[in-house]
Amino acid sequence: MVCWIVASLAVWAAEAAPAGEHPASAKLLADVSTAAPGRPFRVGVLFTMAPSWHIYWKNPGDSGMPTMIRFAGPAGTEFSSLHWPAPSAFSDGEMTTYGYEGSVLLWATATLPQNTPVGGTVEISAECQWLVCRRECLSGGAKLALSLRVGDVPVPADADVFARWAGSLPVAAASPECPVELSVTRQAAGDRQRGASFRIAGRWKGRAGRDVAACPDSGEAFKVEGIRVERLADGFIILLNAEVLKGKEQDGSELPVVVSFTDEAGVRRGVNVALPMRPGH
Amino acid sequence: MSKAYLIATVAAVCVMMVAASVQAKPVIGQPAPQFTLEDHNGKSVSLADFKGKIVVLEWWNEGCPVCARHARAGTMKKLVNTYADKGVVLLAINSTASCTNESNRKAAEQFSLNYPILNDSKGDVGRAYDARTTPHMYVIDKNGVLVYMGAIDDDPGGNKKEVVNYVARALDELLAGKPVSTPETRPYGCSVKYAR
Repeated sequence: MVCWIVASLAVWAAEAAPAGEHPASAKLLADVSTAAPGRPFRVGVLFTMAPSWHIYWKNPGDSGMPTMIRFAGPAGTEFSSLHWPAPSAFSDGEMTTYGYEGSVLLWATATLPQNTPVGGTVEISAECQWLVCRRECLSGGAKLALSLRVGDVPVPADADVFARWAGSLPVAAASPECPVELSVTRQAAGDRQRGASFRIAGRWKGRAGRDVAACPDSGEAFKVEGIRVERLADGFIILLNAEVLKGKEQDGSELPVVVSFTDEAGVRRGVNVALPMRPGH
Repeated sequence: MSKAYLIATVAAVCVMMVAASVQAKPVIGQPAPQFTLEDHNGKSVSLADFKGKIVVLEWWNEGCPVCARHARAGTMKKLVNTYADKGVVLLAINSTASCTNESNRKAAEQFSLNYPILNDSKGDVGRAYDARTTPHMYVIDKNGVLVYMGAIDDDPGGNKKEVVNYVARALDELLAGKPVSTPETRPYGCSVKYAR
């Protein structure tokens, strides 16, 4: 009871409290201090969480809410979709969610229009919304802005932060930098018409990773259940059941999954795998 | 000896039944799990009380900012106001381990809710429905059959201009005698804080 009171007071306090008391903070960064018209650069929000708190990946899992960022710039500025570093899985035994502890950079590629006047400045803004949880949850939000000079030649900035998080972006299973050999087996769907069972076997090419997790990017089309990860001496086996939700058959031909793990340097990394939902696909 | 054996057998069967009931998950098109719980005034409320009505369930926890946002926005209250005279009943269920009738009463007052909050602090009903988030929504048709489960809408952040309220859409379809076009969506919100 006491815990409940403390938790709910924290909720109400945090809604009005200054950002300093909230367990997550957000900072807007760009990988240039001077941007050149028509030349892509990266702009991202670095979230830092208090110990034991986490924010969510694009698929939060059994509960939670995707972290949301809306970038804006001068008229005509283009932004890519968000880049999501490999998430961690959080399980309380009953429910599993996917997200980030400690800190994470979520970023997009931005391009100023060709006709942006050189010599001036532009403002890039990011409207952010998140749910930050440990056992209890708090809503967070921030409107962030950043001023960049505009020049003929870009001037780099915060390169180390962007490089560090680019190293956590999931890689293609077939790419040479993929640290694990993966093989996917689709098993009989049984009586489940829209479903299938999958077995993802992984073998480390070099040093073994730890805290292996299968993070399905289920979107609105899939339901994924019964994820199990078994560790082997030189790799792992992941088992999961996936089903295409009724009415979503059109969007549901392949289920994207990020197999994530922590490498020997303590960096969270991931591999993109696409699971074929249709037999013979 | 035989008595002891009988007790052991009964105990084993009970364990199996409990295990089965824990594992059973609600299925669209199948009868919704029955329940009897106390509302925030201590009154006993059963799903069976609403035979012939459409029942909407909302998993609720006033400590969850996502529930609080919808409560402040009046999302559920609007459903009640729109559909109550069309034979639709809304019940909130609180499976938070620490909730009491008293805490539910205070929350119902604080947010001026026009529907009851039922006390499921043991979590049995939440587990029977496989309720994962607050809010997690369920729609049960007049015959007691589960016809929708998932999110309240397609706007987890509460910032979309055009919001699809999945529950309202399911109710409109049901009331028009049509099948529910999207019977299952991904719920969003805080995890249900079940008793451990």
